[in-house]
Amino acid sequence: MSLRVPRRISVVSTALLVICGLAAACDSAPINPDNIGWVTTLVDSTPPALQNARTFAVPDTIVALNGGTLNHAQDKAIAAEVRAQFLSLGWIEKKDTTGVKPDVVVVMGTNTRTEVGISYADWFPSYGWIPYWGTPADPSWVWGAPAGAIAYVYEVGTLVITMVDLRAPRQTTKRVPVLWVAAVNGVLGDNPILPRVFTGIDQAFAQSPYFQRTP
Amino acid sequence: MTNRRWFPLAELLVALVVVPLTALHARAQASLSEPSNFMSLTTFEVSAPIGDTKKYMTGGLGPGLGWEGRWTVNAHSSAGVSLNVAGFSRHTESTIDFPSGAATGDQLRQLMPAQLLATGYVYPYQRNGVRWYAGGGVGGGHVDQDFSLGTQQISRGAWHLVVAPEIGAEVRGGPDRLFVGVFSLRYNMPTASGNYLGGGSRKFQYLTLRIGIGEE
Repeated sequence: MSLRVPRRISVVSTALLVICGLAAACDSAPINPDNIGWVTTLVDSTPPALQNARTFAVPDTIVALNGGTLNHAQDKAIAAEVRAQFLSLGWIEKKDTTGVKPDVVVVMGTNTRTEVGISYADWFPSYGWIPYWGTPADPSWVWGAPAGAIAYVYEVGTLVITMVDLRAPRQTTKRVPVLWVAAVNGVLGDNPILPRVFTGIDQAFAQSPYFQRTP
Repeated sequence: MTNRRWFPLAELLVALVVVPLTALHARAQASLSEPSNFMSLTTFEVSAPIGDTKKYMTGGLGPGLGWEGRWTVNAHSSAGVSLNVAGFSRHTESTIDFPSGAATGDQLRQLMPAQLLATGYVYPYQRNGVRWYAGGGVGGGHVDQDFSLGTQQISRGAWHLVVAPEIGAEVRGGPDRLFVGVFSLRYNMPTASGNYLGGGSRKFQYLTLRIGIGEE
């Protein structure tokens, strides 16, 4: 009895096994160069403060978080897109920083390093200048993420849009009253491609139907 | 301590190594001169999702691999063990709503069931070198569930009791009829178990077409 045939079978079997194993293991990770990256929105699940908010303000500057730097050439265009979304949903813009303040201020920042979780590192130093706020927050304050917020990986260049409630008491609680957060993952680099950024912003509002206000 | 003190130990070590090897060699030689009652099969598999598993397949079939050993019990039956791994994946780009928000973008859902079964088959019919059989396996399996949300991956897994009825055919050919090809259809029926993403226990059933080649 010859051993050659079984050995040949073994070699063929092993080769096929390896090929099939590699094929099975190489299922592609979700990579699509044309997509807008990930858009996540976090919102408090019981938000009467959000339901009652009708007036807003959007500062024109996108803040570079984590102590990094950012090309600000597109800031105004991006802020205008966010502003346009609110207006189209029936919100009223209030730019006055000294008189009657808006219900909410919508601030924008971008990660200059990868962030994991729901926190926004170096937020307070970066946003200390924001108008509408009053006495500046300091690092002893707690960043009030929406209840049940999901931890996530935010890539470098993620546009973080955050709605802060200006009506809520904050000086005593030392808690930044966040109502809503949207993150458009990894769209802001040195030369942001505006259509991608806008598509992400539009998606963030599209998946937030609770923003709709009747005029 | 002198080297002389190590001699009995060295002899024992040599004996422990050489005797089993010699026995194995003798057994291998003997097995070459006698009809074998053992069949080793490598199986290449494609699986169609059923029930909950359909959510993990965009369409089509999931690939799989396996190894099976079958020992002949008598002319009409065999018993053995079967180790199999299957894979299902579904890639979508859509919005998921959570109680506290929503997420839009690439999502990859993957299931990887692996199972180890004790198998038994009966061969009621044989003609022209083709032995038809029916039977199946009973054993345990583990299902890995992965959900990739952008760069975030969430994984769950659980053990299941598995029952897997099977029908198929063995085809022999080649010199000394050493070639064995197996074609079979196996219905993998894990019991409901675990606490998977999406809520609660799941069965994750699937139907597998197995094509095996091996030697006897």
